[in-house]
Amino acid sequence: MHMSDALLSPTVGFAFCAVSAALLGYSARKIRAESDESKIPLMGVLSAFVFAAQMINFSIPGTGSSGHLSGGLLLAVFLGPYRGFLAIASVLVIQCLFFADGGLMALGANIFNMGFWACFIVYPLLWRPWLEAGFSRPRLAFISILSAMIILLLGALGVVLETSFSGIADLPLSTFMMFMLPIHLGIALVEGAATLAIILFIRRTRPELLGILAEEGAGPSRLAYAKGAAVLLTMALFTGAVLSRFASTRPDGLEWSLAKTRAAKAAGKPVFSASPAATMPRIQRGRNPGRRTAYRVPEHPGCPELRDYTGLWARRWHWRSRSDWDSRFGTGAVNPRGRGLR
Amino acid sequence: MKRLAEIRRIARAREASSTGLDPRAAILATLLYLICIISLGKYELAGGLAFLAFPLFALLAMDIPARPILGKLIFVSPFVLMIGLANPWLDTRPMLRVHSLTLSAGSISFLVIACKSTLSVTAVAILLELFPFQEICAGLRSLRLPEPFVTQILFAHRYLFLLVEEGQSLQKARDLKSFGRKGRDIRTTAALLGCLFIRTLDRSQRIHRSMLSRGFDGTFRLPAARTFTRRDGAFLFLSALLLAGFRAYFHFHASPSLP
Repeated sequence: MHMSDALLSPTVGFAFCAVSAALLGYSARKIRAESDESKIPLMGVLSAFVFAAQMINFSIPGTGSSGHLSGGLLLAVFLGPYRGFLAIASVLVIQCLFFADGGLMALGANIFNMGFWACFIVYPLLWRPWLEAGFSRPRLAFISILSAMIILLLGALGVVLETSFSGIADLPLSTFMMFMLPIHLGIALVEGAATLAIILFIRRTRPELLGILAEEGAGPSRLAYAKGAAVLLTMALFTGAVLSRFASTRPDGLEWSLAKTRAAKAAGKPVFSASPAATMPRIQRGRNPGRRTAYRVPEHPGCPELRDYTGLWARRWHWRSRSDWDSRFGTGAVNPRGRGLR
Repeated sequence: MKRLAEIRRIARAREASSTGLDPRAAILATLLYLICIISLGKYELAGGLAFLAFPLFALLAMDIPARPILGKLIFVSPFVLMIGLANPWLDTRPMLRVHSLTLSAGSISFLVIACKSTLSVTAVAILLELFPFQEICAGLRSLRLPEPFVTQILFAHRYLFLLVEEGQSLQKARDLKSFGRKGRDIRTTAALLGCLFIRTLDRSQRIHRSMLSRGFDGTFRLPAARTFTRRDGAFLFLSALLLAGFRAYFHFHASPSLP
């Protein structure tokens, strides 16, 4: 989520501009000292890749919605802290200039929220030591999801705190936090899973691109566990200290409405009047008579995808039942869901 | 998609800048304008409306097409409006009475938020309409932005079109082969993105080789920075003076704010 000029006070805006400018200058100096020119086009093209990846949506299982990669973690992981930070910052600059996301004065806050945690905290202190100590798929999965969660939740927390300190919006801090953090937890799970899936794909097809991620290592050392635990503990303490200061004891806004909803449910009353969609009959899931395959029909009859299921899919089942789908088209490459139908 | 076409239009429309202005002067004036806007008080609706005069003047005086800018305004971050929309509910103290209509303090602060975000988007859009992106980057470099960062922005901007188009065709192919939500799952998409990623890395190696063969030494050759003429100085001075005057007026005649 981008911080915006309209919600920012000059003090907060200038403070974050100064911090981000210092970090950019520091990173640029480090990169100049490395003087590895082959990585200059790599950084640029990977930033452009992030834009391409952001356009490709995928469906999120169990929710009915779709999401996309935001790419911060991927850039940090592949480019390292300094180059990753510049790459993320350049993505934000282009988004701000061409897509009207955020604003020029809020750029400092946005670069800090989205780049700092990923490149200067999570990658060097958590991701790298953890995977250098030993690589395995479960470890990679764990660290990807955890890193995405830390990056996105701290980023969201940043937006909430910057907005509150600016004092332009009246939304109380606790309500705003209750609104932002769960959403970003969801986004983080998607981001972590997508980053993990991409890394695993690259590892399967071109392992030489991955460096430390390519080798199966021995088990992690105790030091790695200790370091990871120390970082997590510090973050938990920091978050706890910051949040508890602002936590309110009185219910307000969203809390109040939640409490009301709960009370109404307990009394057996409907909370909201039923919408026409809610009163429509629902098609039950069930076995398709005469076929071996159980299949799901979307529960909502207004769903436009229903046509696909009853028409095209039915035809495909027919083919499958004659078991000539594979002999005609092969599996995998042509059939987008491979084993899903068996 | 419209957004991509829009970037392309900007890149094509201003192959060479036609204003004769130094991009540095324009960038600094835009920054001053943005500082004035964000420093306006929470209930300063009159100030917000008054600052609308600057982009309107630029649109008329510099012959900038208004339609694409209006198009951009439609996308003004829904997040901002959503957060701001809470204000009228949370702050219901009556503040302004226009004939029989009473506006609450929350409604006014919401209008100010909407006004500020409109103005900041318009200001940046006008800056982009005035100069080709390369010239803006050259200006940023001569304003002492770190060299690797400017190079990085230029590179990302240049390859944006290529990769986004490639991503689009991949997505279209995937969508044609999938049925509703089936086939658009994260696993298929990750394989797709992984392919694109590997192609991107290969592309960066090819680019690097071809750049080396053309004598690349780590910095982009941008059009030579212009000399900052007296005219540019006068433009910057006048805009600063006007902005400071407007801002000072609304500092001393601020709208009454509620405790």
